[in-house]
Amino acid sequence: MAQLSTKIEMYCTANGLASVDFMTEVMLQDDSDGKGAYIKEWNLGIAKPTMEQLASYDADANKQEQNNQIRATRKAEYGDIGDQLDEIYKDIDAWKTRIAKVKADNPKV
Amino acid sequence: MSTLKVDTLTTRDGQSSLTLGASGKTLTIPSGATISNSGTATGFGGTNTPQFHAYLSSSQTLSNSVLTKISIDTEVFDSDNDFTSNKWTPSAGTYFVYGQVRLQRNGVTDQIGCYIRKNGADLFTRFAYGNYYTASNVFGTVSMNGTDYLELWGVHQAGSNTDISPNSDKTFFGGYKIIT
Repeated sequence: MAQLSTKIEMYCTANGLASVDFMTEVMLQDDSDGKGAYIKEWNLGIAKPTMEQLASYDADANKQEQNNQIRATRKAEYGDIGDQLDEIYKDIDAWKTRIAKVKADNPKV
Repeated sequence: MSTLKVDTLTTRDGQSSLTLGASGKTLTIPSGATISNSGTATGFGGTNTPQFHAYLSSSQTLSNSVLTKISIDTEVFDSDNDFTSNKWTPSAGTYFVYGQVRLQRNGVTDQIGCYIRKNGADLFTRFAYGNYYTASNVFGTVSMNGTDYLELWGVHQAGSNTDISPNSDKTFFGGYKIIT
């Protein structure tokens, strides 16, 4: 199941909001009582979504989270940007080959 | 008024205690005089109790951007047995309290927030950023009325489920009474 925060971001995007501040606009809470996370406060100008509405974003949110993880993995494997510039200066074709392999080894879903 | 000058003042043979003064009377140590104690002193000053220190004993997973109560489940000490079910409810008084929450992750820039909440409302909060087992901690002084309770909460924005580090040196919660 996708993160509640990701589903809320998708709900907000679909309703015309570009971003959500989870410190002030939407407050999520988990009381560690086994019931899971819930919306503690909703301070946005659009209607607070029901859990059913949020559930409809689950598949897309999962996909986005997987791709975010893949982006993070790729970023780590690309390495430091300074080191990459050095690679490019020395042998740009070798650098292209290496970057292409990182992408191929970590395909987006 | 008279002055008693002796080198040692002690009990009579067969007696184990010596009493100075009486209820309602005052024994005065004048300015410039010193009391030097090499034995055991009791009844002077106050004690820093109630006091407790407890920690998270096994990893707890927090969802992204969800303020979550930390399951502080293992006590190092709890002088008055008033830390139960993740909350501390000490007797009335003024207390110094502290807490820390640490992310079990490195190599990625993370943000983590540590909260001490009183009766469910934020009391002390702090956020920290880092890319190596990022930890945030808070501390401060609070007045408690005997039914007030404190809890440790944490939140991160790592983007996905992320564990909080267990063990007494990583994610912990404690406090003690201030002598007033």
